[in-house]
Amino acid sequence: MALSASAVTEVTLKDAQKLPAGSVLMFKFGPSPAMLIHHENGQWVALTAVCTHLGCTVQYEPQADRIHCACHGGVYNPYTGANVSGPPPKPLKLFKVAVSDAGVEVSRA
Amino acid sequence: MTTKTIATDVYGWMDERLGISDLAAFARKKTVPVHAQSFWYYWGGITLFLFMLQCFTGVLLLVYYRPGIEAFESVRQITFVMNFGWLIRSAHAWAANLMMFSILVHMFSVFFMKAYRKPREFGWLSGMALLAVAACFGFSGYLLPMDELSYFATKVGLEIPVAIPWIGPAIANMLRGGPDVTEFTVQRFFALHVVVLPALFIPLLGFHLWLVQRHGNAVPESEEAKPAAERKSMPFMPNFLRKDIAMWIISLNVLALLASVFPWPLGKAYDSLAPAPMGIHPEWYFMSPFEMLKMLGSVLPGEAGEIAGLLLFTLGIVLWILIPFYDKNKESGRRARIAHYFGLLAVFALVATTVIGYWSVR
Amino acid sequence: MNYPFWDIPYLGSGWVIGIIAIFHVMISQFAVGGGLYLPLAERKALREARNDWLAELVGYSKFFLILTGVFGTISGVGIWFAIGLTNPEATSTLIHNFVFGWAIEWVFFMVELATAAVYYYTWNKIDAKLHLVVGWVYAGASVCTLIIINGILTFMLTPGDTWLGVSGTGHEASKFWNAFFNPTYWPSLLLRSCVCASLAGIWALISASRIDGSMHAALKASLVKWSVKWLVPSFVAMPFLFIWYLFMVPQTQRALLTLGIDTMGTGTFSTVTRMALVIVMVSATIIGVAYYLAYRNPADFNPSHAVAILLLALVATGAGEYSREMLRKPYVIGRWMYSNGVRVPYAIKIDHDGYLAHSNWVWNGADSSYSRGEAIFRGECGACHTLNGYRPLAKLLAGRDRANIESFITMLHEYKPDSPYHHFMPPMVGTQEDVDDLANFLNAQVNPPAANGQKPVQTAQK
Repeated sequence: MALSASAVTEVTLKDAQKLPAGSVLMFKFGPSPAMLIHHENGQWVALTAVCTHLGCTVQYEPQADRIHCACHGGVYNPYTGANVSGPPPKPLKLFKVAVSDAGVEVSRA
Repeated sequence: MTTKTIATDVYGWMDERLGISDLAAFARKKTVPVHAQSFWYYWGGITLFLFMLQCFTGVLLLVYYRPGIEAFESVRQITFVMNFGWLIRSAHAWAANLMMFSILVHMFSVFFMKAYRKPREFGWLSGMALLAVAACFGFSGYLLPMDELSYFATKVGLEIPVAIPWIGPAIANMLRGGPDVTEFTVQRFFALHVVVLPALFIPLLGFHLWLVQRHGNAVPESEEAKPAAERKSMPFMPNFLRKDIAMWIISLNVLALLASVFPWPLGKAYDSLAPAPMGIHPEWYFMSPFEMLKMLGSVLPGEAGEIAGLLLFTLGIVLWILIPFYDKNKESGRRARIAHYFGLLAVFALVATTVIGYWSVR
Repeated sequence: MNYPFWDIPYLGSGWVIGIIAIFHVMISQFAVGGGLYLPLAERKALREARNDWLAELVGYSKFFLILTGVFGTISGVGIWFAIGLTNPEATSTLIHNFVFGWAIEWVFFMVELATAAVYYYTWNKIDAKLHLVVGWVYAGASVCTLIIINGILTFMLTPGDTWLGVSGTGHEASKFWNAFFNPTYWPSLLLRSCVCASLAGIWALISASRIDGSMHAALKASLVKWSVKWLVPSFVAMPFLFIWYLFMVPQTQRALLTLGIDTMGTGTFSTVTRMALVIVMVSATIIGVAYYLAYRNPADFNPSHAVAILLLALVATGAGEYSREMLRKPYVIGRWMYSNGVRVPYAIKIDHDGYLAHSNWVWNGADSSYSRGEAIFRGECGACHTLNGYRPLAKLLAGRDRANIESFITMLHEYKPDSPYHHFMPPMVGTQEDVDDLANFLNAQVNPPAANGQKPVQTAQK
């Protein structure tokens, strides 16, 4: 991902505060995929969705409470982004999340 | 109407309009000298074959490659998602290296056989132009994946034109599309690599090949000294052509082996804020000028060192290009020997600086 | 484990076997094929009264004797040394299981060497019919050596369910014949026989190419053409034999071929695609060169052409052997012993007792976590990985911090069925402390501590 002066530093997701608990919203942060998870316990977590192994887009599995990469079986922690199993060498990067009545603002940490 | 009569009729119809039979007659009469150094005659053809492979794999890559901001992602998809994308990319990258290698073998064998002498001066000059364009192909293509290695290798490689006095920085800015290597740079390099350079290369190549047909193969001095009756030759069709094709097939096998067993890797996406990795260097065929610049930069302080390195390298190239005007024909006596030693010096300098370059970055 | 670890820097000890074996295979399979070629050629020459052939064959048999008797022997014994040092656990299992069934190879080797020497030295000195018999005795002994070693090699890939049923009980010898004639025995024997025939033809082409085509046109043409025909059986039969071979390999091991390189590519970026590509392209080239350059134009066929065919054959057989090696992972003896010498049913015991409790040769025992971790690394990982050379762990684990390395090892330790590493890596066996120690050691390699004066405890590196 290019980090030039024109790179995106924040994204506002309109009406995303209505996202039900235990579900995920996939969105684009600049050119790259990202995910916003509203956990069952009320926590909001936003992180990059680009797997640190070979760049596939990961997915959130609410029933298993994990983030899983279908390409080669990598598993991440859906609260911290830490890589817990499989090939990925590094964790997923977390974003800062600000929830308001109008929407959710996701910005670089 | 049998297929044979149909074929003859079609041939006749085409021949009346295009004059194919003249070409066929020429091909049948054409001979290739047979002597101890005949092995080197294949290398121009091998280079041509590798170029055709590059065109073929290049067009296939073109179908999925996206220049600009999505460059890395498109190359990631080609490598890991598209069926056999990895193979096309791997073959393209390896063939680029093999082609540069075979160009150098071809150039040096032509030099040492003194095939630049009258009447083949244009062949030499067009060959040098082709070499320059091929080097540009290599440099521009290398950036296109926009991974860490290509980004930093290009940044470092562009330091060379920057070192040119007065106009250097302007040239570098024009190449980069600004002060830094960005997604605009990759678009420019893409335009160069896919449109501009082929448009230059293909007519030059045509000219170069036409000259080879017109003048035939040069023979080394020892062979020229023999009386005509003692000189052996083989017909171009089918003998030399058969062996030529066999060499092409062997090159294809070598390429297939390299591309399959050592697939070309893809590093992390480039990050302009990241520091350059330790030991970053350009590809092997640019290692020599890179190392010469570094060596002279350490001997002479600051800018003077870079300019001196650049001047030395440029002088060497200019002398190299002008060699047909120095060592003109077989009566050039002492000059022939000097040219030969110059060639040996060039080979030694290139190999030594390349090896030293790798040694110091390992 | 029960034996010391043989540390070969950069290459890893496995490649010592690999390099010697690749060399050996090109010669030994020629020895079997050539053993048939020579008497068959001699018989044809005698029947058709071709004295020029007979004169050539004397030279062939000298070349054959030196190549196989010297280089074949040295490399064969070299393999024996290498396997004993690299993987003594597996070698021990093979010896205990087959005993003289394997060692009888030496009887046939002795017969081979003796008859090869007699064959060469008694040319034109004894009755032609007796000489031919000597040739056939050689051929028979040579084929027997292939018949035997094939049993051992294929057992390592597919011991077969019958033997696996009695493995570890002490009654393995009761299933000797099932183990020997295991599922992949027959396809492998036929495959290798085809390769032997091809290699015989190719080495004969090398000898024939040295004949001066302008002086002895008829001799060269007839020998070259007859030698090319030896390539035909393998090209006709190989595709079917390959399919039969793969069909007899258990599905779990066969799945390995569709995996990419270290979990990298999948789909078409896989080992089978890459090896298949190499094999198909190289085989097509061999056919082209053998037919158009050798068969159609024998007078112009020179040694560099013949050597080109030999190198292409080397690539083709090498690719095949590489695929076979891939198929066997994560085992060294299929479904019985992992590549690092741990026997499958004993993993639970080691998990309970700790890995080092069963390692007699760890010299510095339990000095520190680092040195324990190093011993565990050598024992459990060193069979397939080096730190900075082949399959370098320092690079493969690059980018991970201490916690990540530990979760990676934990994943290997838990060895869940859906783990992507299940196919080609053994489980990491040992206690939680072993996991910890190994993580500490590997972390020190991947993330070396800053130069703050405190170096980790050094272990004996000799």
